[in-house]
Amino acid sequence: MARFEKLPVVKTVTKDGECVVTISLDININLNQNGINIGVTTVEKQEEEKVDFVVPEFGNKKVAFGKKV
Amino acid sequence: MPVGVDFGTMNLVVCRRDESNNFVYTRETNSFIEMEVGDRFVFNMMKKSGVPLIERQEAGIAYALGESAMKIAYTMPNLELKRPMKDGCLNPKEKNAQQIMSIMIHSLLGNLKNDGETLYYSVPANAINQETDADYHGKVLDGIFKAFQDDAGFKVNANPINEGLAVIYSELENKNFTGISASCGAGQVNLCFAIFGAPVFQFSIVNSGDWIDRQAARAVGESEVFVNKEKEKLDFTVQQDSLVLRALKTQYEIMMQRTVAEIKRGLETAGNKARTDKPIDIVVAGGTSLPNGFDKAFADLVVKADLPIQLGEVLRPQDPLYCVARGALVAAENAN
Repeated sequence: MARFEKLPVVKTVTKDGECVVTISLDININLNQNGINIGVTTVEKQEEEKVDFVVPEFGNKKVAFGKKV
Repeated sequence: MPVGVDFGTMNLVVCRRDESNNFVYTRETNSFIEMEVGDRFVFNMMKKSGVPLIERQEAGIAYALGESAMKIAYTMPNLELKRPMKDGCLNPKEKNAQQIMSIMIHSLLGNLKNDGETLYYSVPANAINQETDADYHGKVLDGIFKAFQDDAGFKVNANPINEGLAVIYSELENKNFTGISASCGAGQVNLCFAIFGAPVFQFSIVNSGDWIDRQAARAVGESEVFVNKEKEKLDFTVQQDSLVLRALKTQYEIMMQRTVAEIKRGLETAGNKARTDKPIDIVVAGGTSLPNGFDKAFADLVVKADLPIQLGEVLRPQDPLYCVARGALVAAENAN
């Protein structure tokens, strides 16, 4: 009997900020054998893209642009 | 001489008065494309044919600006049309696009008559149906205008004005600046109800021109640029025979219904503050209101909605693309 277990996504706070942790377990139990196979998928770490709300510096460049209407 | 600026998701418009005191406008599309300058010949030909270009020689990249960029993107779909603004506001993740937009608006402003000229520019209200950051947007625009200097070194004294309120200043002077506006731009519908020029409510909805294009494009399997071009043929007074136009009309109807519903909700929430003794006009404006018959279709929905006010007329100005900039100029002229 095979079973794939995916735990609910966990948001956690680390010293680097907030991240998302996903844990999945792939469990295979064969009742005809004496033994259990357990496979573990890699923990996925997803970090939310940080948005930089700093206002940039602007120059004063101009080009020929715009139509009079 | 004061200046009014409409900072729209699709269009940038500057409004001034000429020597005869008439309103004059300079307009361009708020878009650009990024190209690799592999072929110097093509680049030079574009320049000769009047395409506004900015070159970053160190990166081997050039940017074509404005309406020229839209035409290039329409004929060369492999080039992505970039828009510095989305859903009515600047995207904080697109810092490069903000720099390009700064160059575009500085170029549109041209030269001033006096140093420290009063300038009013349109800003959106925060949307009620999606997270937008009108505060960040406002700060970036403020930074753009603070950096501006014309050939004589003259600077502007720039101030924001809500986009919906600007439409009321433009179109309802004969009604003591009292009424409701729906500025239907590309990114948002900005709604405002003002009494004697003072806002009773102002907010925006993110479901306007771009949303219509996106939904219709998805429905018929075409590009948004193509659908946006086809929208010029849309006519609410006749049966639409093409699939694209039928899809556009359907999305328009959803957008109008939502807009009218939000006007009603705004009036109900305002309650006593919305009380006047005269009929209230509703002005629809903006590029998304351009199709023939839009105003009549919108008026029909307004009547059916049974708004909690004494309804006047539903109006659309002769030049719905320019009234935000015109209203901003009116604000600038009356600022001192």
